[in-house]
Amino acid sequence: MVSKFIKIFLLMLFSLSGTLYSQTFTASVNNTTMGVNDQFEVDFTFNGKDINGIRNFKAPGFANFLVLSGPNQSSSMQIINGAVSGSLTYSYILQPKNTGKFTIGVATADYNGTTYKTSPLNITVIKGSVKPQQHQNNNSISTKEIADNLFIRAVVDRSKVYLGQQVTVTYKLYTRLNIAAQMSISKLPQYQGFWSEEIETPNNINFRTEMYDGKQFKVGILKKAALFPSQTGKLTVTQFELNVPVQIRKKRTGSNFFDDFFNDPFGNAQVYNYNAKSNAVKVDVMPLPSNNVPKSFNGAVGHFSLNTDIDKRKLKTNESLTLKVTISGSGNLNLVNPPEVNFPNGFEKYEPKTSSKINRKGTISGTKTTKYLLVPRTPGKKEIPAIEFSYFDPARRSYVTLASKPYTIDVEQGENIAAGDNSEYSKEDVKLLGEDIRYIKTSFDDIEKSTGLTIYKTGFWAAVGVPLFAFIALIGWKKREDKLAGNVQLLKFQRAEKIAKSRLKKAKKLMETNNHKEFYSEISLALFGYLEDKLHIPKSEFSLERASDEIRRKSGTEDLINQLKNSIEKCEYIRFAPNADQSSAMNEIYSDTSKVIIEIEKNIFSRKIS
Amino acid sequence: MKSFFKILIFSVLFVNLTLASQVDDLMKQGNDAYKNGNYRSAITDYGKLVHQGYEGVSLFYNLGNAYYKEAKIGYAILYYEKALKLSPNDDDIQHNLAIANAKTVDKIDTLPEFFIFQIWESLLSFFSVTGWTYLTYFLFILILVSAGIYFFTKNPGVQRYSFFSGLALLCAFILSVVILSINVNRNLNVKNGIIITQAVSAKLSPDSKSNDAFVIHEGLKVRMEDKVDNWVKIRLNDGKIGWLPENDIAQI
Repeated sequence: MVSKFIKIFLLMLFSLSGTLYSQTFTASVNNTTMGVNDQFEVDFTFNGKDINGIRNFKAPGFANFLVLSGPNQSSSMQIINGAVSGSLTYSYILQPKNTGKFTIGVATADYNGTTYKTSPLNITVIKGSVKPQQHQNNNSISTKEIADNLFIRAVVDRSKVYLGQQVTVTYKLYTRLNIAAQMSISKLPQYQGFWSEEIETPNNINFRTEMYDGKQFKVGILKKAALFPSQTGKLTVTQFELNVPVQIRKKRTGSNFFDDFFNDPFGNAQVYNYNAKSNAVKVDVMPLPSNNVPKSFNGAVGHFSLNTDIDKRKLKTNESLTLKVTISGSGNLNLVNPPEVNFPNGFEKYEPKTSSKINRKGTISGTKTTKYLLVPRTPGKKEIPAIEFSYFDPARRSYVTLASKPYTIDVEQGENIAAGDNSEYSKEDVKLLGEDIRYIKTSFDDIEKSTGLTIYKTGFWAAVGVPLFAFIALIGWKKREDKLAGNVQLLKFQRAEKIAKSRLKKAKKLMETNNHKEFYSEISLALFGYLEDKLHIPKSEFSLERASDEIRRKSGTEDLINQLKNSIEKCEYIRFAPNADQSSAMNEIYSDTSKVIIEIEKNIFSRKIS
Repeated sequence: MKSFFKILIFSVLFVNLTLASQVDDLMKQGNDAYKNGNYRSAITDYGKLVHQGYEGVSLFYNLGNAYYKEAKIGYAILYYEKALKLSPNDDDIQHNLAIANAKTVDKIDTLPEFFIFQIWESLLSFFSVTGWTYLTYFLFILILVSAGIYFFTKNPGVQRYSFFSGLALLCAFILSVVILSINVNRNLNVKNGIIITQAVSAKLSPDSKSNDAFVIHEGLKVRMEDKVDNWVKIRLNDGKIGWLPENDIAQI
């Protein structure tokens, strides 16, 4: 109001000088010395012939001031003696931030291609508030005075709570002053360490009277919140700040009637923007008792009840079943997790759906419903065990465990056999599922009594053993044979008797057919061959004397040698004397030769051979 | 005495003949029933032979087919597996077994084996146990023959050939013996079974009051590791262990 007056005054002043038709651009402030708590107005005024030509107004930076309002534009036109002049004012309402000397910088504006500048203003800011001499009662209401009469109290219903227990914080506005306009929130409290739930309050603040500190106040509830501590220890809720425009009745001094008149011609109050702050709230959070914590405890604090409901007790496989678990009561319901249910095997369970209804009046209460959709895949009697839910009751300072009844469900075999989720099948499986099996085998000559493994049969081992032994025997025989083949003398020695026998046999046959020549040659061959082989005498060196010597050496008796000599001589004789009695001679020779061979064999070699 | 032997030989022959004709009759009957879509009676016919202790690829394969058509996947897989044991390379059995396996519910992942082990396993099951036995025996006889040639021949060229072929045959024979003994060992010690009831919960211990370990479904092939009373300890391919009532599983 004051500034307006100044403005008009200045305008009048400038407009007088405006007759010069010159363009001026000036900065002005209503007071160059002011207190930190004072508001002041800075005007940048342009006077000129045509104020519409002003472009590009640039205000200086107000780094050390709070801009409460502005730029506010006002303009005026006047015609004096036919000459038109106008003024354009950009005004700001500022408040200093700190004490000290500050400079308000240069504002610029373009007019008809020329840039006009204002001159800088020096301002001194001192502590407190300055009461200008001419405005003694003006902005003079001290904040303390207001604070005594208008304040916000944050009240908690309890200051010592358990973890998760509800604390209700209520912000109340206490006032003995008139509130001029809509209040605006400048800073909301921060609920650090809490999970908060706003409690519904009426949109319009209903004031009622209350005595506080011996004074009567109008009290209105601004805000209410339910807080659930999520950590232990001392927690603080920050201040709630509210900008309250208050109407302040002024004391009449009488000395300044003119001033009052201009300020508020129809009353005697002024509006002051007061920033009300609540107290910070401290809450002491205790941890929950650590003994006797139930297994099913999941952080629920308050007072609850548990309800379960099942829609079917008897169904077929692959049909669905809904189990509803409802938790109702008051407490930190939103933080309550649905209780864990151990469904028996053979149930396919889907993600449970949870819905909650929360009543936000006073204590937070409501219901939380969890629906489990189950599809039994296998038949049989299934039991859903009792569902347990535990909470901590702060009133009783103990844990409470609730349990539902167990449900028995009778699942019958449905029609769909082995139906699984198709998504389980791999690509190859899907391809295979489309195919049909191949036809049966029509030849069945492979069927026989099961006899166990072949290797347990004696026949098998016989079939292994017989060829093996036969082979070994064969190898043994071959070895012997090779040894003999390698030693001709030994072979001849061993075969001598056999050969002699076979020759004698042949000779006997020849004797029967009266073939004299052949007979004698065979007999002599038998005898000489035998002796050669047995006595190891080479054919070329063989003579009767040599043979006799050998026999003698091998300790043959003289009688045996004589016998041998006798039979050889006889043989030679008869062989070359064809006139003799053939058959008797042949017989005699044959028996003699046989006898000699047998005698030699007996007397000389029998020991060696065996 | 002579007449007694005659009677004995005659009666043995006769019994054999009657048995053979009974097998033929039942198989024909079963095959006809299968052909006419009367799978249930086909199962009865084939089943009679199985109960009498007969075995054969065609018998097991046909029985598996009949069970498959009757939607008894567990039994179908059981008999396919039995047939496959007798004839591991039979294409028909492999094909039908794959189809039947695709119809099972449980898809238990087996860890992929290193390719050398895969080759080894396929070598092991290249023949049935009987097949490996015969191969080993055949190699044995060949070794004897080549050794015989080596010892008896006088021609040094032939002798050299027979020596090296004998050496190669010996290597093959040793490998064959190793494979045969592994197969025989598995045949005796590793027992696989097929789940034949539609779904069964395996328990943690051989006791009906014990907690459920897992649920398995018809047609799953599991290893049978132990038996306590009427309970069989099984191991799944992924290593899980549980106990099943005896009646829910059939050994291959």
